[in-house]
Amino acid sequence: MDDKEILDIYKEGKKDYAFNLITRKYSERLYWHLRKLLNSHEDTNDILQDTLIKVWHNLPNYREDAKLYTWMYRIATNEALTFLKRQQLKNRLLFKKIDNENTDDIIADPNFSGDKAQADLQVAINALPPKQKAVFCLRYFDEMKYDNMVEIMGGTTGSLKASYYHAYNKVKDHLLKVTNYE
Amino acid sequence: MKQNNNILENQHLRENPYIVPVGYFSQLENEVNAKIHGKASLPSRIWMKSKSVVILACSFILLWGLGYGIFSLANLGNKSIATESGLLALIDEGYLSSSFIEDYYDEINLSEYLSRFEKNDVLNDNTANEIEESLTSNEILEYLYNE
Repeated sequence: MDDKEILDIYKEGKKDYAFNLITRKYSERLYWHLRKLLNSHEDTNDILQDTLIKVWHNLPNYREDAKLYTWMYRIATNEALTFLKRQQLKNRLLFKKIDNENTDDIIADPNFSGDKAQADLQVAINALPPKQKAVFCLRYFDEMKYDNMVEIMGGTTGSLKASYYHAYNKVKDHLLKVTNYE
Repeated sequence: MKQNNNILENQHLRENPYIVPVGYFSQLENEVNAKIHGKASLPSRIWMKSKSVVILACSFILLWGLGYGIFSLANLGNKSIATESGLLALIDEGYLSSSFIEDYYDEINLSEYLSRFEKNDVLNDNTANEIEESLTSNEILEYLYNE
């Protein structure tokens, strides 16, 4: 069922049914997008549920000027960035290290089934500032075009390209250091 | 060196290394619906958003109250007349009647009070002690005022 049909069902008054269709169609994609940004399944679950609840409450205001998925993606990304910034501030105030700061922590996660190289990559990504992390994940993993990224994150194509460039080099330097390449 | 610069271009690194708990997505819909239609109503959400502001305001009020309380306790002694020196001063100035003195007799150190009249001939230490032991408060006052 496409987005237009779902929105027509919603406008007919079958709001719960339409919302469940949206949840079944998009929750998995949103989950994997959030999972790369956040450090754990539990945090991802919390942010995903907050996102879906916000979608429910804001559906009456959805203006259809952006695709439904882009709109949901934007809400999810903003929720994740807000969470990451709050977590970063809390860690600084409490002089606490970020979660999953080293490879062993990531490999120990029961929901991680990758190898050491992938764990090293995730450590490097976790060290990025929140916005750079989001830009890197959208470009590197989802291969999203910058024009689409502007719709989700705001800003300009130039600023997003600069963010990705800096993030890419930081991650690459970390991987080279960890793998001891000359 | 060229290979090192392309370390991130390894396609294996772009693969998804994560898994989800079994049945997670099928339960997700029910959990979200429960939150939307259950206890997570609008007043609850307003409280969740304003919680930090309310806590900050309550902390400020508590600190102010503690400060006011400490300040009040610190000034209480200065204003009290239920101390020895306070009572003695009021007796000298005639503000307290004998009946009042009777009530607060236990609080007054009689030796100190008698010594303030400088009755050298009669009120030496021993005499003062004898008087203290044998006389009531009214008798003492009558004796003193008649001298």
